[in-house]
Amino acid sequence: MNHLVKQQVNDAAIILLIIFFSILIPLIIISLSLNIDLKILFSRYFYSTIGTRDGLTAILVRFTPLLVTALALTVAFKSSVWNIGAEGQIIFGAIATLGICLHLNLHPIILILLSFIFAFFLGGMWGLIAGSLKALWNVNEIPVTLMLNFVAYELIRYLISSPWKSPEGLYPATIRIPFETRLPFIESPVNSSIIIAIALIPVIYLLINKTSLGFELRAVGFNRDIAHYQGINTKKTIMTCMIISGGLAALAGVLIVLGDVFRGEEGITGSYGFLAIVVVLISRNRAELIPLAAFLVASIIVGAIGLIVVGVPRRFTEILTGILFIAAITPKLLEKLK
Amino acid sequence: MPIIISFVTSILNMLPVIAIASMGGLLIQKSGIYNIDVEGTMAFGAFLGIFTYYLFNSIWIALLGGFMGGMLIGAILATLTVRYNLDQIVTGFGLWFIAEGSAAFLFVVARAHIKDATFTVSEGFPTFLSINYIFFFSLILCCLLYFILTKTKEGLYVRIAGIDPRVGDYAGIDIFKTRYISVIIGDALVGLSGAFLSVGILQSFSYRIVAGYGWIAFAIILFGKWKPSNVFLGAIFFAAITGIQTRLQVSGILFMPVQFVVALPYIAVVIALTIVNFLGGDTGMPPALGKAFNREKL
Repeated sequence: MNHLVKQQVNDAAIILLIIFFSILIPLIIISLSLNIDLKILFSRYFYSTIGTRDGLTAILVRFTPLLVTALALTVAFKSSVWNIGAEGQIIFGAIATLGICLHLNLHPIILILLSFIFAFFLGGMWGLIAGSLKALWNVNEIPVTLMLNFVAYELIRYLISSPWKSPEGLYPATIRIPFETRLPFIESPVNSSIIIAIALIPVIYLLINKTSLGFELRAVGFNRDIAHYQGINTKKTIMTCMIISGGLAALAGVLIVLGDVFRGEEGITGSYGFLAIVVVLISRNRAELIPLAAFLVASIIVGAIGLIVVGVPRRFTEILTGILFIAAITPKLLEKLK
Repeated sequence: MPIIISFVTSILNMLPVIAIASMGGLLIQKSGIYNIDVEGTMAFGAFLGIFTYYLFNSIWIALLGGFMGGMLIGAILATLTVRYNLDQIVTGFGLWFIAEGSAAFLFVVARAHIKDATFTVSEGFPTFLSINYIFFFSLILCCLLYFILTKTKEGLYVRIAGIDPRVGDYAGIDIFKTRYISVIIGDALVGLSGAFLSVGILQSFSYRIVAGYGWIAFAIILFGKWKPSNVFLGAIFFAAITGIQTRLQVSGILFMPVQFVVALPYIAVVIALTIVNFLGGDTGMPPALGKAFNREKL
């Protein structure tokens, strides 16, 4: 027992160290090339994210959809279905929410409930495309989910530029959803969407570890042929897996619209679909670590954005995100080198 | 008639961006590595193209600059995926963001430090029958790639690396070296296409200059069943559709939303993959694509 704990602490320490240095070194380069004081960069990045109220709330706002998407991906990855189409599924969740909240005139609570249900349906169906192609005809899900992302991007781009376009504002976006449909705030930018997100953690944990469906998911993930010989309907399992994964990711989209952005706009997914992959990889397949990893990733992103204030060009956030991706998977490298 | 000719020539002049990037990506994927960084590498090549043009005032050296920029990204990708066996998808995403972010970031830095430059290109590429030389280069590249992949020993090594690297390893082929070279040259070609985009076609640089062309090139590789001839034709096909759409849009009689046309290559890939698999045919996807090859593991 002691050894296991020590192992986990060791893993966590390695990850944190790698991430720390992979942020520090670019900061040093920035400091040298743009003549910004390194101390300011350092304090701005590390302190003002976790140390200040604004920083913490910004982290939590990003943490929420990231957590939900990461949970969605966990379901898929456990079944060895590499769902890299989460971005598109999030978008369908957003489209469902916008469609309902902007166009139907019902009681707000009904609108919110309908949004969740419709979003799960759309996201599930979108995920099912790749899922059924893989289950029935063995089409590799990686290119399919990836390509479908771009189709989804174009779909929402069309919607916010044409039929749902808001008459005001310079760039294409929808009008804001009505006040009553927005999720109530807990502490200014942080709202009750975080409660929903955290509530999903035990749900998914139980689903994966304590239900028969979860068992089938993990069995198929381990070895599809063996699972098949055991009598598991692998086709049904894979398709169900993608429905759940896509639906959950879509729920993240609902939370983004109802809790954060309140409308449809370009870049609404905030790359959560890709960042969630990093979160799952950092958690090393342990569902308990996902909230921690999501918080960590959210902090890193918020920190990078915060640097814009002190004069770092905003594109640096992108570079830092990229470095984060690679840093998150390098611990495997270290294991090899040992 | 002249309208049709000018339409065709404009497509053929635009084509090399997608075609050369597709060819480069094809080479990488044939050897078994995903080139998810394609969009970023193109942007990086685009920036280096413009910047090199500013430094040397020559469009050809600018193309070389883009080529070398792509080589750099390719070297990083190769090291991380081939040597260290890191997950190709995540590494690809990481390099995509790093490369694309660096391109925009370096451009901002360059503009801040070099006040007198405009970073635009005023000269065009030489043409033959008003079709860009680079188009003919891409045509030759396609034939070259076909020839190398199917008729030469090294091409066989590349294909084996993508089909079953373990068997190739047993046969004595240096899979690591093969993949390294494929990835580096492939990404270099992607960088070259980016440089052509910025120096040859748009003649300037801006953030989002690549605007999805890298991903279209990626989609075309899949749609073309990983064969050079199909990929080239696919590139022509999609360039033509984009050209038609632009013209219809400009003249105001576009009968479908522009985003649908943009999404078309991706939809086409999914449909094509489905149909081929449904009919039980061969998608052409290299079987070892995406799988790490580790010589020490048994």
